[in-house]
Amino acid sequence: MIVAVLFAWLLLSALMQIRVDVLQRWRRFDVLHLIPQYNFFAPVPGMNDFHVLYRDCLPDGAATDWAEITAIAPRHWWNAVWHPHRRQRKAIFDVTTTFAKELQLYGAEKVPLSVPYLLLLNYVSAQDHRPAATSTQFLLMMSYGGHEAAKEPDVMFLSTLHGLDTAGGWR
Amino acid sequence: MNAFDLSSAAALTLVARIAAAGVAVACLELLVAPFELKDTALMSWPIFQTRHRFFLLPAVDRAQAAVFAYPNVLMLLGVRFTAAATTIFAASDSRLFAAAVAIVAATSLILPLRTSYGLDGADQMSTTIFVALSFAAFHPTPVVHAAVLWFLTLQACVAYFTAGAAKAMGHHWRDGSGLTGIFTTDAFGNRHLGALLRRSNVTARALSWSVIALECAFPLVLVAPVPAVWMLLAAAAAFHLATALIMGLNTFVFAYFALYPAVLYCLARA
Repeated sequence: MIVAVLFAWLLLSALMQIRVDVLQRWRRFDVLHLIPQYNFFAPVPGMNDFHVLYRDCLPDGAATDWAEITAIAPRHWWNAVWHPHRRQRKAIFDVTTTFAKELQLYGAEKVPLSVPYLLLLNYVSAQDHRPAATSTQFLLMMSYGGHEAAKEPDVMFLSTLHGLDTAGGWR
Repeated sequence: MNAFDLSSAAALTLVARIAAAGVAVACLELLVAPFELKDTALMSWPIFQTRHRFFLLPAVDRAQAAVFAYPNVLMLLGVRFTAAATTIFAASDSRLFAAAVAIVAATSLILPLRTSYGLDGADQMSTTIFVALSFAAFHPTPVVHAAVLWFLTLQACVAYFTAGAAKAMGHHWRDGSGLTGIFTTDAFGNRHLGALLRRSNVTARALSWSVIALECAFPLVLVAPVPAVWMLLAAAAAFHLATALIMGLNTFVFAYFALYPAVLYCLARA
């Protein structure tokens, strides 16, 4: 029985590496993430950095400067063994790339109901805001070439304004 | 004694202990940076649970909150760390060891339900390893031991081959620009290597094809002559050490090195 289970699991794992829609659609049933995805950084590698910025709107209609909240901490040689910041780095990558896919799929009108949008809004709302701020908005940007930027960053998405309550959260 | 000639029990123990070291490091990394798991962070559970109405049903919500809500999740990580440490130090034929392996497997299955954002391929491979090891721990028969080791070896072959084939299908990898692109990012790059590859596309292309060739060739460990097998394993190990050093992918080293004792067991019998 166990041998059969392992054989079936292996077979499914191998089969699901084939990147065709008809197979990949079944992944939504894999809630326990038992079927791996082994195509790391391929076929299209992540050649960009993603940035989340936000600004507040004040009662007189003026806006604060954009502030970046996702600056990547510089890496050190010991990160080869011990790398506590890697989760944040990966979470930014996952949320922004999933958001980009959902934006393409559902359009700007429906995307505010998606999980990655809500995560970004929730994250932005928890940052420090001006006490008088009435609303906040966020901006997603994509930069190229990191520390040796060869090209100006592109705007991926600009959110609408979201009202801030007195406790600093969004409403 | 031939270095390949690991007994099934010895191979399984090595797999478990190396993989457990990776799990322990991953747990500690989260425990020292717990803000990543707060409700307001990108790995927030209350937001992720809105992905489907099932997770918002009152009974399901209550059950999840008990383990996933912040700071309860830190307790779950503490249990996972303890189980990983026990896997490293307990006698491999003890019930304690089997229970520890099962707890690491169970927590590996549970944690992606909290959020899948921030998880990586090393977490994925650890899950595969520990679920498979649980079968061996609770059904310690020679047939199951051998089946688990063959399963892990063949998963390793599928993993490397898929990674290599997927790269070969991408034009950015074939012309070397993909590697240059990755190495010039802040997230996964390296200032010096990025600058070097930007100056020399020949180097970028050569490195890129070396990675593709290595990954696609990995399944040959099962049929190649012994010296070639050692060269393949050494090259694969060097590849993981390099990605840890250059890209900061530290836990991949443990998750993939853990498969090598299984490979050594199987190739002695292939």
